[in-house]
Amino acid sequence: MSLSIKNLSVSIGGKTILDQVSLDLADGQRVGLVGPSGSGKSMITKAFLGLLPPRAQASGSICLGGKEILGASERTLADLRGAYVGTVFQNPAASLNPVLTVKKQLTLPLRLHYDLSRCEREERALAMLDKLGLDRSVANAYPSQLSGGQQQRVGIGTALITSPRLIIADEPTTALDSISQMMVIELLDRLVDQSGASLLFVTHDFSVLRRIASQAYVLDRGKVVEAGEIQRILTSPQSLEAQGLVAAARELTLAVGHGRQPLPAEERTS
Amino acid sequence: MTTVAIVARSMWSRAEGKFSILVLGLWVLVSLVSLVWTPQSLWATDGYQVWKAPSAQHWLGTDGTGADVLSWLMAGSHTNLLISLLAVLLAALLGLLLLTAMLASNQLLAAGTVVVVDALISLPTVLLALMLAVPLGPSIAVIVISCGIGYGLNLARIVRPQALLAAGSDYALSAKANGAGGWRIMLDHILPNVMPTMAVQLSLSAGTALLAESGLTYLGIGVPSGVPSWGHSLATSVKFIDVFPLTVLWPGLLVTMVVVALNVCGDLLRQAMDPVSNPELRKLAA
Repeated sequence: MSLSIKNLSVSIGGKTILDQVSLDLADGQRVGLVGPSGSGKSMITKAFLGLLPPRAQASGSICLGGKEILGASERTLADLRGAYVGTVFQNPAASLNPVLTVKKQLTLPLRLHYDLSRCEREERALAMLDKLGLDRSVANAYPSQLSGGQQQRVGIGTALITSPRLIIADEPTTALDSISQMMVIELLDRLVDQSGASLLFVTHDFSVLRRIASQAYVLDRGKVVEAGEIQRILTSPQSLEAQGLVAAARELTLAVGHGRQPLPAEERTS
Repeated sequence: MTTVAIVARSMWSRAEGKFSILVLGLWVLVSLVSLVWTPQSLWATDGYQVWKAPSAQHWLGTDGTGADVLSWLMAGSHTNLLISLLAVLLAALLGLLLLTAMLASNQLLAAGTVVVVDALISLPTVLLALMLAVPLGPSIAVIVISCGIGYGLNLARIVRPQALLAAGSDYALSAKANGAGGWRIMLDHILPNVMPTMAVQLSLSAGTALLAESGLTYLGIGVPSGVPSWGHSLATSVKFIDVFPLTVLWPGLLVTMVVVALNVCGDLLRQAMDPVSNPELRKLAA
Protein backbone atom coordinates (compact mmCIF):
# COMPACT_ATOMS: atom_id res chain seq x y z
CA MET A 1 0.00 0.00 0.00
CA SER A 2 1.42 3.36 -1.00
CA LEU A 3 1.76 6.32 1.32
CA SER A 4 2.27 9.88 0.23
CA ILE A 5 2.72 12.70 2.70
CA LYS A 6 2.83 16.24 1.30
CA ASN A 7 3.77 19.32 3.32
CA LEU A 8 2.56 17.87 6.60
CA SER A 9 2.77 20.34 9.47
CA VAL A 10 1.71 19.57 13.01
CA SER A 11 1.68 21.96 15.94
CA ILE A 12 0.62 21.44 19.52
CA GLY A 13 -0.23 24.44 21.66
CA GLY A 14 1.43 26.79 19.18
CA LYS A 15 4.67 24.79 19.12
CA THR A 16 5.63 23.38 15.73
CA ILE A 17 6.34 19.64 15.90
CA LEU A 18 6.43 18.86 12.16
CA ASP A 19 7.24 21.46 9.54
CA GLN A 20 6.28 20.85 5.90
CA VAL A 21 7.27 17.18 5.92
CA SER A 22 6.94 15.32 2.60
CA LEU A 23 7.52 11.60 2.29
CA ASP A 24 6.71 8.94 -0.33
CA LEU A 25 6.45 5.22 0.14
CA ALA A 26 5.55 3.13 -2.89
CA ASP A 27 3.62 -0.12 -2.79
CA GLY A 28 5.93 -2.87 -1.46
CA GLN A 29 8.75 -0.43 -0.74
CA ARG A 30 10.76 -0.28 2.46
CA VAL A 31 11.62 3.14 3.73
CA GLY A 32 13.35 4.25 6.89
CA LEU A 33 12.59 7.35 8.90
CA VAL A 34 15.66 8.21 10.92
CA GLY A 35 16.35 11.02 13.33
CA PRO A 36 17.36 11.81 16.88
CA SER A 37 14.97 11.68 19.81
CA GLY A 38 12.39 14.46 19.66
CA SER A 39 12.80 15.00 15.91
CA GLY A 40 9.13 14.19 15.26
CA LYS A 41 9.46 10.65 13.85
CA SER A 42 6.71 9.12 15.95
CA MET A 43 4.48 12.15 15.36
CA ILE A 44 4.47 11.36 11.65
CA THR A 45 3.26 7.82 12.28
CA LYS A 46 0.65 9.11 14.73
CA ALA A 47 -0.52 11.65 12.13
CA PHE A 48 -1.36 9.10 9.48
CA LEU A 49 -2.81 6.68 12.01
CA GLY A 50 -5.10 9.50 13.17
CA LEU A 51 -3.70 9.19 16.68
CA LEU A 52 -2.51 12.76 17.18
CA PRO A 53 -3.24 14.31 20.58
CA PRO A 54 -6.61 16.12 20.69
CA ARG A 55 -4.93 19.57 20.92
CA ALA A 56 -2.75 18.95 17.85
CA GLN A 57 -3.39 20.94 14.68
CA ALA A 58 -2.36 19.32 11.41
CA SER A 59 -2.26 20.66 7.85
CA GLY A 60 -1.03 19.29 4.53
CA SER A 61 -1.97 16.02 2.92
CA ILE A 62 -1.64 12.33 3.80
CA CYS A 63 -2.70 9.92 1.05
CA LEU A 64 -2.89 6.25 1.97
CA GLY A 65 -3.50 4.00 -1.01
CA GLY A 66 -4.58 7.07 -2.98
CA LYS A 67 -7.12 8.12 -0.36
CA GLU A 68 -6.79 11.35 1.61
CA ILE A 69 -6.91 10.51 5.30
CA LEU A 70 -5.90 13.73 7.03
CA GLY A 71 -9.09 14.93 8.66
CA ALA A 72 -10.94 11.70 7.82
CA SER A 73 -13.65 10.51 10.19
CA GLU A 74 -12.76 8.30 13.15
CA ARG A 75 -14.79 5.50 11.53
CA THR A 76 -12.72 5.65 8.33
CA LEU A 77 -9.46 5.72 10.27
CA ALA A 78 -10.51 2.83 12.54
CA ASP A 79 -11.26 0.74 9.44
CA LEU A 80 -7.79 1.49 8.05
CA ARG A 81 -5.94 0.82 11.29
CA GLY A 82 -5.13 -2.80 11.81
CA ALA A 83 -6.78 -4.01 8.61
CA TYR A 84 -4.57 -2.05 6.17
CA VAL A 85 -1.93 -0.57 8.45
CA GLY A 86 -0.20 -2.67 11.12
CA THR A 87 1.90 -1.00 13.79
CA VAL A 88 4.78 -2.44 15.80
CA PHE A 89 5.49 -0.33 18.86
CA GLN A 90 8.73 0.63 20.55
CA ASN A 91 8.30 -0.85 24.00
CA PRO A 92 6.87 -4.37 23.80
CA ALA A 93 6.52 -4.67 27.58
CA ALA A 94 4.22 -1.66 27.64
CA SER A 95 2.36 -2.23 24.37
CA LEU A 96 1.10 -5.67 25.42
CA ASN A 97 -1.74 -5.81 27.94
CA PRO A 98 -0.27 -7.39 31.12
CA VAL A 99 -3.49 -9.19 32.10
CA LEU A 100 -4.27 -10.81 28.73
CA THR A 101 -2.67 -13.98 27.40
CA VAL A 102 -0.63 -13.96 24.19
CA LYS A 103 -3.39 -15.84 22.36
CA LYS A 104 -5.99 -13.29 23.42
CA GLN A 105 -3.79 -10.40 22.28
CA LEU A 106 -3.14 -12.04 18.91
CA THR A 107 -6.81 -12.77 18.27
CA LEU A 108 -8.16 -9.32 19.19
CA PRO A 109 -7.21 -7.63 15.86
CA LEU A 110 -8.77 -10.56 13.98
CA ARG A 111 -12.03 -10.11 15.86
CA LEU A 112 -12.06 -6.45 14.90
CA HIS A 113 -11.55 -6.91 11.19
CA TYR A 114 -12.60 -10.42 10.18
CA ASP A 115 -15.76 -12.43 10.57
CA LEU A 116 -14.13 -15.58 11.92
CA SER A 117 -15.24 -18.14 14.47
CA ARG A 118 -13.34 -18.36 17.75
CA CYS A 119 -11.69 -21.61 16.63
CA GLU A 120 -10.55 -20.04 13.37
CA ARG A 121 -9.12 -17.04 15.20
CA GLU A 122 -7.25 -19.28 17.63
CA GLU A 123 -5.93 -21.41 14.79
CA ARG A 124 -4.59 -18.30 13.04
CA ALA A 125 -3.02 -17.12 16.30
CA LEU A 126 -1.23 -20.46 16.68
CA ALA A 127 -0.11 -20.34 13.03
CA MET A 128 1.25 -16.83 13.67
CA LEU A 129 3.21 -18.15 16.67
CA ASP A 130 4.79 -20.69 14.31
CA LYS A 131 5.73 -17.89 11.90
CA LEU A 132 7.16 -15.87 14.78
CA GLY A 133 9.33 -18.84 15.78
CA LEU A 134 7.63 -19.10 19.17
CA ASP A 135 6.50 -22.34 20.76
CA ARG A 136 2.72 -22.85 20.69
CA SER A 137 2.69 -23.15 24.49
CA VAL A 138 3.45 -19.43 24.58
CA ALA A 139 -0.18 -18.89 23.53
CA ASN A 140 -1.37 -19.20 27.12
CA ALA A 141 1.46 -17.15 28.62
CA TYR A 142 1.15 -13.62 29.92
CA PRO A 143 3.57 -10.91 28.69
CA SER A 144 5.42 -10.85 32.02
CA GLN A 145 6.47 -14.48 31.42
CA LEU A 146 8.22 -13.64 28.14
CA SER A 147 11.63 -12.11 27.46
CA GLY A 148 11.86 -8.72 25.77
CA GLY A 149 12.63 -10.32 22.41
CA GLN A 150 9.68 -12.72 22.73
CA GLN A 151 7.39 -9.86 23.72
CA GLN A 152 8.41 -7.89 20.64
CA ARG A 153 7.80 -10.94 18.45
CA VAL A 154 4.28 -11.10 19.85
CA GLY A 155 3.99 -7.36 19.17
CA ILE A 156 4.99 -8.01 15.56
CA GLY A 157 2.47 -10.85 15.47
CA THR A 158 -0.42 -8.62 16.59
CA ALA A 159 0.54 -6.06 13.92
CA LEU A 160 0.84 -8.62 11.12
CA ILE A 161 -1.91 -11.12 11.92
CA THR A 162 -4.48 -9.19 9.88
CA SER A 163 -2.13 -9.18 6.85
CA PRO A 164 -1.91 -5.38 6.58
CA ARG A 165 -0.59 -3.81 3.36
CA LEU A 166 1.51 -1.24 5.20
CA ILE A 167 3.59 -2.01 8.28
CA ILE A 168 4.87 0.73 10.53
CA ALA A 169 7.67 -0.29 12.85
CA ASP A 170 8.09 2.52 15.37
CA GLU A 171 11.55 1.96 16.86
CA PRO A 172 10.80 -1.76 17.42
CA THR A 173 14.34 -2.59 18.53
CA THR A 174 15.13 0.36 20.79
CA ALA A 175 14.09 -1.39 24.02
CA LEU A 176 15.93 -4.63 23.18
CA ASP A 177 19.40 -6.02 23.72
CA SER A 178 21.60 -6.46 20.65
CA ILE A 179 20.88 -10.18 20.17
CA SER A 180 17.14 -9.62 20.43
CA GLN A 181 17.49 -6.66 18.07
CA MET A 182 19.10 -8.91 15.47
CA MET A 183 16.39 -11.57 15.85
CA VAL A 184 13.56 -9.06 15.65
CA ILE A 185 15.05 -7.39 12.56
CA GLU A 186 15.51 -10.75 10.83
CA LEU A 187 11.96 -11.77 11.73
CA LEU A 188 10.45 -8.50 10.54
CA ASP A 189 12.55 -8.71 7.36
CA ARG A 190 11.31 -12.23 6.63
CA LEU A 191 7.65 -11.58 7.43
CA VAL A 192 7.53 -8.35 5.41
CA ASP A 193 9.14 -10.22 2.52
CA GLN A 194 6.53 -12.98 2.76
CA SER A 195 3.61 -10.60 2.95
CA GLY A 196 4.83 -8.22 0.26
CA ALA A 197 3.65 -5.28 2.36
CA SER A 198 5.22 -1.81 2.42
CA LEU A 199 7.33 -0.98 5.43
CA LEU A 200 8.00 2.30 7.18
CA PHE A 201 10.77 1.68 9.68
CA VAL A 202 11.24 4.42 12.27
CA THR A 203 14.52 4.46 14.14
CA HIS A 204 17.33 6.67 15.39
CA ASP A 205 19.93 4.06 14.51
CA PHE A 206 21.39 3.76 10.99
CA SER A 207 23.05 0.47 11.82
CA VAL A 208 19.63 -1.10 12.43
CA LEU A 209 17.98 0.66 9.52
CA ARG A 210 20.46 -0.46 6.85
CA ARG A 211 19.62 -4.07 7.63
CA ILE A 212 15.98 -3.72 6.68
CA ALA A 213 15.49 -0.75 4.34
CA SER A 214 17.18 0.77 1.33
CA GLN A 215 15.75 4.29 1.33
CA ALA A 216 15.67 6.72 4.20
CA TYR A 217 14.40 10.12 5.21
CA VAL A 218 16.48 11.95 7.81
CA LEU A 219 14.42 14.05 10.16
CA ASP A 220 15.61 16.75 12.51
CA ARG A 221 13.54 19.16 14.61
CA GLY A 222 10.41 18.37 12.63
CA LYS A 223 11.93 18.82 9.16
CA VAL A 224 13.17 16.37 6.54
CA VAL A 225 16.82 17.40 6.17
CA GLU A 226 17.93 14.66 3.78
CA ALA A 227 16.45 11.80 1.79
CA GLY A 228 17.78 9.08 -0.48
CA GLU A 229 19.56 5.74 -0.61
CA ILE A 230 20.80 4.65 2.80
CA GLN A 231 24.12 3.56 1.35
CA ARG A 232 24.62 7.01 -0.15
CA ILE A 233 23.66 8.77 3.09
CA LEU A 234 26.06 6.53 5.01
CA THR A 235 28.98 7.19 2.66
CA SER A 236 28.39 10.87 1.95
CA PRO A 237 25.82 12.51 4.16
CA GLN A 238 24.98 15.99 2.92
CA SER A 239 23.32 17.64 5.91
CA LEU A 240 25.01 18.33 9.21
CA GLU A 241 22.28 16.41 11.05
CA ALA A 242 22.74 13.30 8.88
CA GLN A 243 26.52 13.56 9.30
CA GLY A 244 26.04 13.55 13.07
CA LEU A 245 23.77 10.50 12.99
CA VAL A 246 26.07 8.59 10.64
CA ALA A 247 29.12 9.43 12.74
CA ALA A 248 27.34 8.25 15.88
CA ALA A 249 26.23 5.01 14.20
CA ARG A 250 29.76 4.33 12.92
CA GLU A 251 31.25 5.04 16.30
CA LEU A 252 28.86 2.74 18.11
CA THR A 253 28.32 -0.23 15.83
CA LEU A 254 29.19 0.04 12.17
CA ALA A 255 32.89 0.43 12.91
CA VAL A 256 33.08 -3.00 14.50
CA GLY A 257 35.20 -5.00 12.13
CA HIS A 258 34.39 -8.53 13.17
CA GLY A 259 31.32 -10.60 13.88
CA ARG A 260 28.37 -10.63 11.53
CA GLN A 261 28.60 -8.02 8.80
CA PRO A 262 25.65 -5.81 7.98
CA LEU A 263 23.64 -6.89 4.98
CA PRO A 264 24.49 -4.76 1.93
CA ALA A 265 21.63 -2.41 1.24
CA GLU A 266 22.01 -3.02 -2.51
CA GLU A 267 20.80 -6.58 -2.08
CA ARG A 268 17.45 -5.40 -0.85
CA THR A 269 14.55 -4.92 -3.14
CA SER A 270 12.84 -1.63 -2.67
CA MET B 1 -7.30 -26.46 33.63
CA THR B 2 -9.47 -23.43 33.02
CA THR B 3 -8.86 -20.00 34.49
CA VAL B 4 -11.98 -20.28 36.67
CA ALA B 5 -10.76 -23.59 38.13
CA ILE B 6 -7.34 -22.09 38.87
CA VAL B 7 -8.89 -19.06 40.58
CA ALA B 8 -11.12 -21.33 42.69
CA ARG B 9 -8.20 -23.62 43.56
CA SER B 10 -6.00 -20.66 44.52
CA MET B 11 -8.69 -19.41 46.88
CA TRP B 12 -9.33 -22.87 48.35
CA SER B 13 -5.63 -23.36 49.04
CA ARG B 14 -5.75 -20.82 51.86
CA ALA B 15 -7.48 -21.29 55.22
CA GLU B 16 -9.40 -18.01 54.99
CA GLY B 17 -10.37 -18.96 51.44
CA LYS B 18 -11.86 -22.25 52.67
CA PHE B 19 -13.78 -20.34 55.37
CA SER B 20 -15.06 -17.84 52.83
CA ILE B 21 -16.09 -20.42 50.22
CA LEU B 22 -17.76 -22.67 52.83
CA VAL B 23 -19.73 -19.84 54.47
CA LEU B 24 -20.85 -18.32 51.16
CA GLY B 25 -21.61 -21.74 49.69
CA LEU B 26 -23.70 -22.61 52.73
CA TRP B 27 -25.51 -19.28 52.47
CA VAL B 28 -26.51 -19.97 48.86
CA LEU B 29 -27.45 -23.59 49.67
CA VAL B 30 -29.60 -22.64 52.67
CA SER B 31 -31.24 -19.87 50.63
CA LEU B 32 -32.26 -22.36 47.97
CA VAL B 33 -33.42 -24.99 50.48
CA SER B 34 -35.45 -22.40 52.42
CA LEU B 35 -37.47 -21.66 49.30
CA VAL B 36 -39.06 -25.12 49.57
CA TRP B 37 -38.42 -26.24 53.16
CA THR B 38 -37.88 -24.85 56.65
CA PRO B 39 -37.87 -26.93 59.89
CA GLN B 40 -41.06 -25.22 61.09
CA SER B 41 -43.67 -23.13 59.37
CA LEU B 42 -42.85 -19.42 59.60
CA TRP B 43 -46.36 -18.71 60.74
CA ALA B 44 -46.55 -21.51 63.37
CA THR B 45 -46.59 -19.30 66.47
CA ASP B 46 -47.24 -20.40 70.02
CA GLY B 47 -48.05 -17.87 72.75
CA TYR B 48 -46.88 -20.32 75.42
CA GLN B 49 -43.49 -20.90 73.81
CA VAL B 50 -42.11 -17.33 73.43
CA TRP B 51 -38.42 -16.45 73.87
CA LYS B 52 -37.55 -20.10 74.49
CA ALA B 53 -33.95 -21.27 74.71
CA PRO B 54 -32.63 -23.75 72.09
CA SER B 55 -34.24 -27.20 72.34
CA ALA B 56 -34.65 -30.35 70.25
CA GLN B 57 -37.82 -28.94 68.70
CA HIS B 58 -36.45 -25.38 68.15
CA TRP B 59 -32.70 -25.67 67.58
CA LEU B 60 -32.10 -21.95 67.97
CA GLY B 61 -35.04 -21.24 70.26
CA THR B 62 -38.15 -19.17 69.58
CA ASP B 63 -38.82 -15.46 69.16
CA GLY B 64 -41.37 -13.16 70.84
CA THR B 65 -44.26 -14.72 68.91
CA GLY B 66 -43.14 -18.28 69.62
CA ALA B 67 -42.02 -18.78 66.01
CA ASP B 68 -38.95 -20.91 65.24
CA VAL B 69 -35.83 -18.67 65.03
CA LEU B 70 -33.94 -21.14 62.80
CA SER B 71 -36.79 -21.23 60.27
CA TRP B 72 -36.95 -17.43 60.13
CA LEU B 73 -33.19 -17.13 59.74
CA MET B 74 -33.22 -19.78 56.98
CA ALA B 75 -36.03 -17.99 55.18
CA GLY B 76 -34.29 -14.67 55.75
CA SER B 77 -31.16 -15.93 54.04
CA HIS B 78 -32.76 -15.86 50.60
CA THR B 79 -34.13 -12.34 51.16
CA ASN B 80 -30.66 -11.17 52.14
CA LEU B 81 -29.06 -13.01 49.23
CA LEU B 82 -31.50 -11.35 46.85
CA ILE B 83 -30.84 -7.91 48.36
CA SER B 84 -27.05 -8.34 48.19
CA LEU B 85 -27.12 -9.65 44.62
CA LEU B 86 -29.45 -6.95 43.32
CA ALA B 87 -27.59 -4.15 45.14
CA VAL B 88 -24.24 -5.39 43.78
CA LEU B 89 -25.66 -5.80 40.28
CA LEU B 90 -27.10 -2.27 40.32
CA ALA B 91 -23.84 -0.89 41.76
CA ALA B 92 -21.80 -2.67 39.06
CA LEU B 93 -24.03 -1.40 36.24
CA LEU B 94 -24.13 2.16 37.55
CA GLY B 95 -20.41 2.12 38.37
CA LEU B 96 -19.46 0.92 34.88
CA LEU B 97 -21.79 3.42 33.24
CA LEU B 98 -20.27 6.28 35.23
CA LEU B 99 -16.76 4.97 34.61
CA THR B 100 -17.40 4.90 30.86
CA ALA B 101 -18.68 8.48 31.00
CA MET B 102 -15.64 9.52 33.05
CA LEU B 103 -13.33 8.08 30.36
CA ALA B 104 -15.26 9.57 27.44
CA SER B 105 -13.28 11.40 24.79
CA ASN B 106 -15.78 14.25 25.19
CA GLN B 107 -14.01 16.26 27.89
CA LEU B 108 -17.18 18.04 28.96
CA LEU B 109 -18.97 14.75 29.61
CA ALA B 110 -15.95 13.27 31.41
CA ALA B 111 -15.32 16.28 33.65
CA GLY B 112 -19.06 16.79 34.27
CA THR B 113 -19.47 13.18 35.38
CA VAL B 114 -16.54 13.48 37.80
CA VAL B 115 -18.11 16.59 39.37
CA VAL B 116 -21.56 14.94 39.62
CA VAL B 117 -20.11 11.77 41.16
CA ASP B 118 -18.05 13.79 43.65
CA ALA B 119 -21.13 15.76 44.64
CA LEU B 120 -23.44 12.75 44.97
CA ILE B 121 -20.90 10.61 46.80
CA SER B 122 -21.27 12.91 49.81
CA LEU B 123 -24.94 11.90 50.11
CA PRO B 124 -25.26 9.24 52.86
CA THR B 125 -26.94 5.99 51.82
CA VAL B 126 -29.29 6.19 54.82
CA LEU B 127 -30.48 9.65 53.76
CA LEU B 128 -31.07 8.37 50.24
CA ALA B 129 -33.02 5.43 51.67
CA LEU B 130 -35.13 7.77 53.82
CA MET B 131 -35.97 9.88 50.77
CA LEU B 132 -36.84 6.78 48.73
CA ALA B 133 -38.99 5.40 51.56
CA VAL B 134 -41.38 8.35 51.18
CA PRO B 135 -42.75 7.31 47.78
CA LEU B 136 -41.93 3.59 47.99
CA GLY B 137 -42.68 2.82 51.65
CA PRO B 138 -40.68 0.19 53.57
CA SER B 139 -39.54 -2.28 50.90
CA ILE B 140 -36.66 -4.30 49.53
CA ALA B 141 -36.53 -1.82 46.62
CA VAL B 142 -35.56 0.99 49.04
CA ILE B 143 -32.54 -1.00 50.24
CA VAL B 144 -31.51 -2.18 46.77
CA ILE B 145 -31.83 1.23 45.08
CA SER B 146 -30.18 3.25 47.86
CA CYS B 147 -27.32 0.76 48.24
CA GLY B 148 -26.96 0.28 44.48
CA ILE B 149 -26.66 4.04 43.87
CA GLY B 150 -24.35 4.65 46.84
CA TYR B 151 -22.03 1.74 46.06
CA GLY B 152 -22.13 2.44 42.30
CA LEU B 153 -20.87 5.99 42.91
CA ASN B 154 -18.12 4.66 45.19
CA LEU B 155 -17.16 1.99 42.68
CA ALA B 156 -16.77 4.50 39.84
CA ARG B 157 -14.68 6.84 41.99
CA ILE B 158 -12.39 4.08 43.31
CA VAL B 159 -11.82 2.36 39.96
CA ARG B 160 -11.38 5.60 37.93
CA PRO B 161 -7.63 6.17 38.57
CA GLN B 162 -6.77 2.60 37.55
CA ALA B 163 -9.04 2.84 34.51
CA LEU B 164 -7.42 6.13 33.51
CA LEU B 165 -3.99 4.50 33.70
CA ALA B 166 -5.17 1.64 31.47
CA ALA B 167 -6.87 4.06 29.04
CA GLY B 168 -3.67 6.08 28.67
CA SER B 169 -1.41 3.05 28.41
CA ASP B 170 0.62 1.96 25.42
CA TYR B 171 -1.47 -1.19 25.06
CA ALA B 172 -4.64 0.91 24.73
CA LEU B 173 -2.85 2.99 22.08
CA SER B 174 -1.69 -0.22 20.41
CA ALA B 175 -5.29 -1.50 20.39
CA LYS B 176 -6.43 1.79 18.84
CA ALA B 177 -3.70 1.48 16.23
CA ASN B 178 -5.14 -1.96 15.45
CA GLY B 179 -8.54 -0.44 14.77
CA ALA B 180 -10.25 -0.84 18.15
CA GLY B 181 -12.85 1.80 19.01
CA GLY B 182 -13.58 3.26 22.43
CA TRP B 183 -16.01 0.49 23.45
CA ARG B 184 -13.70 -2.32 22.42
CA ILE B 185 -10.80 -0.74 24.31
CA MET B 186 -13.08 -0.42 27.34
CA LEU B 187 -14.22 -4.07 27.12
CA ASP B 188 -10.98 -5.73 26.02
CA HIS B 189 -8.32 -3.68 27.78
CA ILE B 190 -9.64 -1.44 30.55
CA LEU B 191 -12.16 -3.80 32.17
CA PRO B 192 -9.77 -6.78 32.52
CA ASN B 193 -7.33 -4.44 34.25
CA VAL B 194 -9.83 -3.00 36.73
CA MET B 195 -11.69 -6.28 37.33
CA PRO B 196 -9.65 -7.36 40.40
CA THR B 197 -10.28 -3.99 42.08
CA MET B 198 -13.94 -4.18 41.13
CA ALA B 199 -14.20 -7.69 42.61
CA VAL B 200 -12.91 -6.43 45.96
CA GLN B 201 -15.14 -3.37 45.97
CA LEU B 202 -18.26 -5.29 44.95
CA SER B 203 -17.73 -8.01 47.52
CA LEU B 204 -17.31 -5.32 50.19
CA SER B 205 -20.49 -3.74 48.86
CA ALA B 206 -22.36 -7.07 49.15
CA GLY B 207 -21.33 -7.24 52.82
CA THR B 208 -22.24 -3.60 53.43
CA ALA B 209 -25.63 -4.19 51.79
CA LEU B 210 -26.29 -6.88 54.42
CA LEU B 211 -25.42 -4.44 57.19
CA ALA B 212 -27.55 -1.76 55.52
CA GLU B 213 -30.48 -4.17 55.33
CA SER B 214 -30.23 -4.76 59.08
CA GLY B 215 -29.92 -1.06 59.83
CA LEU B 216 -32.68 0.13 57.50
CA THR B 217 -35.06 -2.63 58.62
CA TYR B 218 -34.37 -1.62 62.23
CA LEU B 219 -35.28 1.97 61.27
CA GLY B 220 -38.51 0.67 59.75
CA ILE B 221 -37.78 1.61 56.14
CA GLY B 222 -36.18 -1.65 55.00
CA VAL B 223 -37.73 -5.09 54.63
CA PRO B 224 -41.46 -4.76 55.41
CA SER B 225 -43.03 -6.49 58.36
CA GLY B 226 -43.85 -10.14 57.70
CA VAL B 227 -41.04 -10.68 55.20
CA PRO B 228 -38.28 -12.82 56.72
CA SER B 229 -34.80 -11.30 56.75
CA TRP B 230 -31.83 -11.28 59.11
CA GLY B 231 -32.39 -7.57 59.71
CA HIS B 232 -36.00 -8.31 60.59
CA SER B 233 -34.90 -11.00 63.10
CA LEU B 234 -32.43 -8.54 64.63
CA ALA B 235 -34.90 -5.65 64.71
CA THR B 236 -37.59 -7.67 66.52
CA SER B 237 -35.23 -9.07 69.14
CA VAL B 238 -32.68 -6.34 69.78
CA LYS B 239 -34.95 -4.54 72.26
CA PHE B 240 -34.78 -7.60 74.50
CA ILE B 241 -31.03 -8.12 74.29
CA ASP B 242 -30.63 -7.78 78.07
CA VAL B 243 -33.27 -10.43 78.76
CA PHE B 244 -32.98 -12.86 75.83
CA PRO B 245 -29.48 -12.30 74.39
CA LEU B 246 -29.46 -15.56 72.40
CA THR B 247 -32.19 -14.41 70.02
CA VAL B 248 -29.99 -11.44 69.05
CA LEU B 249 -26.85 -13.54 68.97
CA TRP B 250 -27.98 -15.84 66.12
CA PRO B 251 -28.86 -13.24 63.48
CA GLY B 252 -25.95 -11.03 64.63
CA LEU B 253 -23.52 -13.92 64.32
CA LEU B 254 -24.90 -14.84 60.92
CA VAL B 255 -24.59 -11.31 59.52
CA THR B 256 -21.07 -10.95 60.95
CA MET B 257 -19.87 -14.28 59.53
CA VAL B 258 -21.27 -13.65 56.07
CA VAL B 259 -19.92 -10.08 55.95
CA VAL B 260 -16.45 -11.30 57.01
CA ALA B 261 -16.64 -14.12 54.42
CA LEU B 262 -17.59 -11.64 51.68
CA ASN B 263 -14.75 -9.28 52.61
CA VAL B 264 -12.21 -12.12 52.69
CA CYS B 265 -13.60 -13.48 49.42
CA GLY B 266 -13.11 -10.13 47.67
CA ASP B 267 -9.55 -9.80 48.81
CA LEU B 268 -8.65 -13.35 47.82
CA LEU B 269 -10.50 -13.01 44.53
CA ARG B 270 -8.40 -9.94 43.66
CA GLN B 271 -5.19 -11.87 44.26
CA ALA B 272 -6.43 -15.02 42.52
CA MET B 273 -7.75 -13.22 39.40
CA ASP B 274 -4.66 -11.11 38.81
CA PRO B 275 -2.05 -12.98 36.71
CA VAL B 276 0.62 -10.61 38.02
CA SER B 277 0.06 -11.70 41.64
CA ASN B 278 -1.14 -15.28 41.06
CA PRO B 279 1.71 -17.56 39.88
CA GLU B 280 -0.81 -20.40 39.31
CA LEU B 281 -2.43 -18.43 36.49
CA ARG B 282 0.95 -17.81 34.91
CA LYS B 283 1.75 -21.53 35.07
CA LEU B 284 -0.94 -22.11 32.42
CA ALA B 285 1.79 -21.69 29.85
CA ALA B 286 3.92 -24.48 31.33
